Amino acid sequence: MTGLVGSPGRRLRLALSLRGAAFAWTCACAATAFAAAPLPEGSTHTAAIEVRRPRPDRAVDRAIHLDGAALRQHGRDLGDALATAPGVTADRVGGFGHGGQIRLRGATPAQTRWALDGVPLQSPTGRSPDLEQLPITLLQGVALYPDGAPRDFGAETMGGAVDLRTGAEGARRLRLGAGSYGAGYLDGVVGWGSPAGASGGYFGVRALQVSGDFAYRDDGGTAFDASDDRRRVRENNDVRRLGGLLGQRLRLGHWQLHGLVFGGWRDQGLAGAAGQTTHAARLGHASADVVLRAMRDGRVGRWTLQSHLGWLSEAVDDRLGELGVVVSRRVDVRAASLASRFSAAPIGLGPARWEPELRVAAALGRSAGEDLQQGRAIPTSTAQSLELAAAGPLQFGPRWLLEPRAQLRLAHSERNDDPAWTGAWQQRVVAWRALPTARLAVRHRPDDAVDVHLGASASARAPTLLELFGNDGSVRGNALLRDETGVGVDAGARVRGRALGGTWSGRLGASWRRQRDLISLVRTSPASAIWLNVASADLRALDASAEARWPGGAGGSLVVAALDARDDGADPAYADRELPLLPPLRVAALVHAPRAALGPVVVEAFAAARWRARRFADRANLVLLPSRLRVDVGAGARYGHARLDLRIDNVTGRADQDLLGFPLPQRAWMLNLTWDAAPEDR
Amino acid sequence: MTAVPATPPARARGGATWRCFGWLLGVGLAACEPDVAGGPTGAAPERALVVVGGDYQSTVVSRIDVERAVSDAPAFLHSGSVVGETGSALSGDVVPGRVLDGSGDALLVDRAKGTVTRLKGLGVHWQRNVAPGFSANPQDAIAVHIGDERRVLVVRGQPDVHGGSNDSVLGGGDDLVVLGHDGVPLGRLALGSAASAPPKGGAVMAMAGSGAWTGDALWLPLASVSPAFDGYGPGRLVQARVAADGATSLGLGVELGPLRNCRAARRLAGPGLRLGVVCSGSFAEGPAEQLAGSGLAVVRIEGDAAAVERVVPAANFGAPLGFHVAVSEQTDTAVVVALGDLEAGQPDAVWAVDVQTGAGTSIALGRGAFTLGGLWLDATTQTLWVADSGISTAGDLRRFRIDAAGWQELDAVASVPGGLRALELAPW
Repeated sequence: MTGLVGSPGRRLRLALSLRGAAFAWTCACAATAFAAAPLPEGSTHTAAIEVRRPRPDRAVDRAIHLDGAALRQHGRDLGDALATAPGVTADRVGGFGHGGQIRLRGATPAQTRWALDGVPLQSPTGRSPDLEQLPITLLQGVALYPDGAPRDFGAETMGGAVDLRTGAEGARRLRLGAGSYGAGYLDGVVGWGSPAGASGGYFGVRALQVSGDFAYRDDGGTAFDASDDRRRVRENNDVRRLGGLLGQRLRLGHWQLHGLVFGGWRDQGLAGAAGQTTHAARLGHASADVVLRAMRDGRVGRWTLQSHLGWLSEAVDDRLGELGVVVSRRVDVRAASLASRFSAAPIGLGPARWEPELRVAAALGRSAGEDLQQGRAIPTSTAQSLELAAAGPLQFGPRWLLEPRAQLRLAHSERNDDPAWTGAWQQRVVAWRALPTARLAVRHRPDDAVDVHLGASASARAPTLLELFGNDGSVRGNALLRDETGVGVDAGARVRGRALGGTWSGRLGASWRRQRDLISLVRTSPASAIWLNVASADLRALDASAEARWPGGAGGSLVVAALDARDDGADPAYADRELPLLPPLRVAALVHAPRAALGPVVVEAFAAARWRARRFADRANLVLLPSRLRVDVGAGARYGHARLDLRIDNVTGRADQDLLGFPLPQRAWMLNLTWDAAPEDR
Repeated sequence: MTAVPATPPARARGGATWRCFGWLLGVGLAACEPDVAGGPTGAAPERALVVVGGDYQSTVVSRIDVERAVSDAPAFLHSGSVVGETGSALSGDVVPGRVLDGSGDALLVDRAKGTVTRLKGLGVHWQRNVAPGFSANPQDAIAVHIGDERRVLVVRGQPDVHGGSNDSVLGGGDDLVVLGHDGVPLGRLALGSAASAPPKGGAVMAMAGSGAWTGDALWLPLASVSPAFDGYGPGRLVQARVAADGATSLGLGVELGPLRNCRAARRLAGPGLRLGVVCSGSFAEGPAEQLAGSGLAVVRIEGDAAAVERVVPAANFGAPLGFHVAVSEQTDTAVVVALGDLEAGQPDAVWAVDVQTGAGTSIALGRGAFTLGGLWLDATTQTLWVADSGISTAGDLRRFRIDAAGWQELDAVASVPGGLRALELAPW
């Protein structure tokens, strides 16, 4: 140690050379299939390095935190629970169990990264987590990152990120629910160990079944002729789902190991667009993912190895052509990714501390399947990518943080396409190309109550295997998709404080993005949509939120989010039109009544209101979906470990649709019974 | 008659969202509703075209004044005209029918939603669902006089495999349906039995195309395609006899030689009864096979006999032919489109064909592959109207006039300035 005591410059050079050696070694590890080997710990040269936690990019927390207990109380599923969060647009295609998509500030699902306790959930197949299959009892909280993913999430993202926080180790919760339209579900988690201990894990499961036979007003396809309108029951709208998740964390010597296995199965009728009754069209879906992560904290830094294996199968059986096109196909997608990351411990650079990081990753995937009607195999398509990323946040004292990141992805694919859906497959080779991504952000914390940030990014993304080849009956892949690119800036500020006897927080965020070849979902028939490139798009978002909490459970939040998302391309048919399905303004309010004790029973109640401005359903901005107000209410009573909740959604019973032609249930109720070994106050 | 709301000019809505931002400063929620202005003007022109534009997501319907060559009522009806709980009145896959009954109305066929809409002036006269409970995929509609009665004949392309609708007049599918002048169904003619077998055998759909009305019968070209669209039987033209009371029967049938996937038939000029039938070949096979199965057939009908007089192979034009054909009322000229190639960047091409000799004359290239749609030859002015949906600063309705020097391109007409471009057109 004493041998290293010298000038700061010498210490820096020495330390840098060690980092360089470690980086090179990391690359070598990735290239040699990640053969595990310990870092060169014990070197006397480590004296110049100061290991400090928390990591610099967490010193200024930029996430929007959602409380898990409140989510479990309000939401029937995770997608529903996130619907009132800042910057989130949640679209559903049906009632409970029918899924939908979550968009952060207008970003598409594939642009948004998902993680579970920091472990990336995004399957290399391109599938985003199925929010209706994740056990909601697992959640302790959700952190939203509308301005981009934390670097712990791995690959750089074009949109935001969502980190699901479990804290499920040691938890034991079971929840049963039943509700309108034949809905019933079971949701439970059992954990072992504790989050603070050396090891722990959890297992969560969610199973649900919905007959989905809600009534709606059917115009018979003749919107001009009201004489044939009548009330109908949505047919072929049943869903069965089963999802499970197993997590295990343990420490072996210097290694922290984290394994995550999750998967799901779904069988559902494809009701198609309303007015076009289907009887037999069905979708079968199964997926499984295995994530293994090994981390080692040494004196020189942290080394992380991560592998992710993903598989999914989608089988659409519409051999009667009830959805408009005769389709009976099963698509199987398999993909794997391997990544090695080295995060050096902070290095002193005068007044600053620098934490360089290098990551190398490789991914490959294949898509194949079978034409079930013709008994023919669907030719195999493949995609490969190689990624090199570097980051180096610089922390200047406790108040300033500069975050530069860069990533270069090399991608290649061989795609088989059946453009006319006639079995006439054509092969296309998309040659190796470079997809660079970079981001620079500055964060400042003037005092403990205020933090602000400003960022700029340029990014590129290859279409996922699902965007290229998927087919879930409603959304079809497009093998002709081009890579999308974008540049953007974002800024935000947050304040916290105490006033009026409560805790207050407020947040203001803004972003601007310009995208080229934006991969966007475009409806091509009443019942189906396809991924297409929008040549140029301009997205500006502004969202503000405020939250207050008082002792005793009273509190509330207000979210106002504005989004101006426009087609910016040269085609005059779309130029300056709004991108479809993105409301320009959204307001959400949530109010909790104070808890009341009635003897041993604790009673709680909440009300939530969501207003959404009108939005267009099509690229040409001809079809306008009106603004809507939805009000949900709920009340719960807790007695010891047991809790009974009743919630009523859409109390006004207003007819509604998130996507044109896909009616949503009107008023719906759900009764939940929860048993929690360690009940918590919200 | 149902009133139709006016079309908002698209660019006028540009500021709505930023006014929403203004709401944050206290302007108010009302500022977020879009501006709505504009609409159709003027009396109906003497000669007009109904033009359907779209992008397969949304549809716009416009009226074109043929004499003045202007869009008289741009986008007077569109997919957003009526939006209800279960969708909009028009999907993104709409084609115009033909009205030959002298009523001055227009017909729209919504292939995705399975509806037929009759327009009177710029308003909706009636709308009928011809796909009750199944995807009937209607292909065409034609309003005709049968005796003293006005009838609407609707060609439906897909059968009700499930069989749930068979009890109704509109059950079955893959047929010709006879509607009364008010849209009430009167009868149907199943066409499945008239289809020719695909090469691999198995089930087949007749999937009739756009037929030629000859006063007492509708001559229908058949695609004869397998339900999975992976095989086409030999081309065939069949005669559908229709009575005023809705009674129907199958008449003559003509094999169209090597041609497959026949999509449109029109009556040719000259003495006697001759029909021009355009066939696109099999999209399920390779380029060479498709080209060999594509062409224009000339069929002569005399009494109870019908025979192929000539087949003009698509090889003469270097590419398979599209789904449209226009014919001259005075000369032996038919106009067809040779399909382009997206991969090779080869655009569509418009060809004039001398049906006597089979000789072709190139008229023009399209603005891209698969951009050329509806065709109409105006007999009065000898002007060809072509819908071209390719991106261009010029209009989407291209016009060509034939004179002694050949085909001359005139100024194009924009059906909806700055809006969705024309895919189909028909005389109004």
